[in-house]
Amino acid sequence: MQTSDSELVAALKRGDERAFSRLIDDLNPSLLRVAMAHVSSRAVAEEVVQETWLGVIRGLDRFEGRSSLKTWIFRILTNTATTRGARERRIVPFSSLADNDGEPLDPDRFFPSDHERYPDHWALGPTPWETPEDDLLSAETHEVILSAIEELPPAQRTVITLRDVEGWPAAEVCDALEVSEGNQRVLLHRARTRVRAALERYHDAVEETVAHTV
Amino acid sequence: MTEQPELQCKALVQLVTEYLDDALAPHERAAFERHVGECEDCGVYLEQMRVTIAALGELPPERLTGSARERLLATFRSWVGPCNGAPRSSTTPS
Repeated sequence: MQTSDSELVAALKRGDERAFSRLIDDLNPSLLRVAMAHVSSRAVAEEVVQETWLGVIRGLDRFEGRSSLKTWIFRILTNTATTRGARERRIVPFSSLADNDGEPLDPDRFFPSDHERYPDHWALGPTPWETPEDDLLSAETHEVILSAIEELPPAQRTVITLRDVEGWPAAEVCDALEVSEGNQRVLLHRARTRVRAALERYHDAVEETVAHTV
Repeated sequence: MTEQPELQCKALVQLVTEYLDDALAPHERAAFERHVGECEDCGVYLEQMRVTIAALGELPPERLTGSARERLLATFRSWVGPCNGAPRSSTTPS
């Protein structure tokens, strides 16, 4: 356990309310998002997070620091969330590479490998995106991204949330979720590919609308 | 001496995440950057990935509602308490 971790744990065990308060504020955004990957609504996710923290408080005495504090908390969260998710009959297996979602990027976008001139090259390349000029478009972009995240399989959703939305370094994500760096990266890659594809569809639709309006 | 095969677009898009994580071997990284320099489509794709990641980072943080936070702090206060080693509830297993 790192020094800062052991200091924090000692403070928590002493009943240092400020330390606990900081810990909640620090981790809640991540916990909430990860919980939402497992259960059906934000309200339920909030309950799961509350239960998680209660589990943390109850378990503090027994926490010996063999894993990092974050890993331990996220383990409690995952257990709480999957139990709750299963109870809601939303089966959410959190195995790293189990969600086999095929090709997020349509293989038809590329020429075949035996093409005479351009094997494996883009056939239908990506169109550069117009930069939005006003806040309205930016808010719409956020909606597109939020929807895309919501539709991701739970493991992909969790990794992209912690890495890209919450900005955790890869090592911390691997530690908290107890997955290998390689697995974590595969999940991240699939998730990012899907979110980018959603943005592409959005931009294509916008430009088509503009073209017909002129 | 074996020649490094050229990286094609279809393979490159699979390597974008590794590239951005700086996880490619030096020769793979060189092949990646060489191709992106020569291929406009892949350059656009890489840039769109970067924009996507940046946009993800701009999502506003989720927060627990105020009362939920207060209840949590109250629970912490009552459970742990200000006195070290004070006996807990009798139902706590030793």
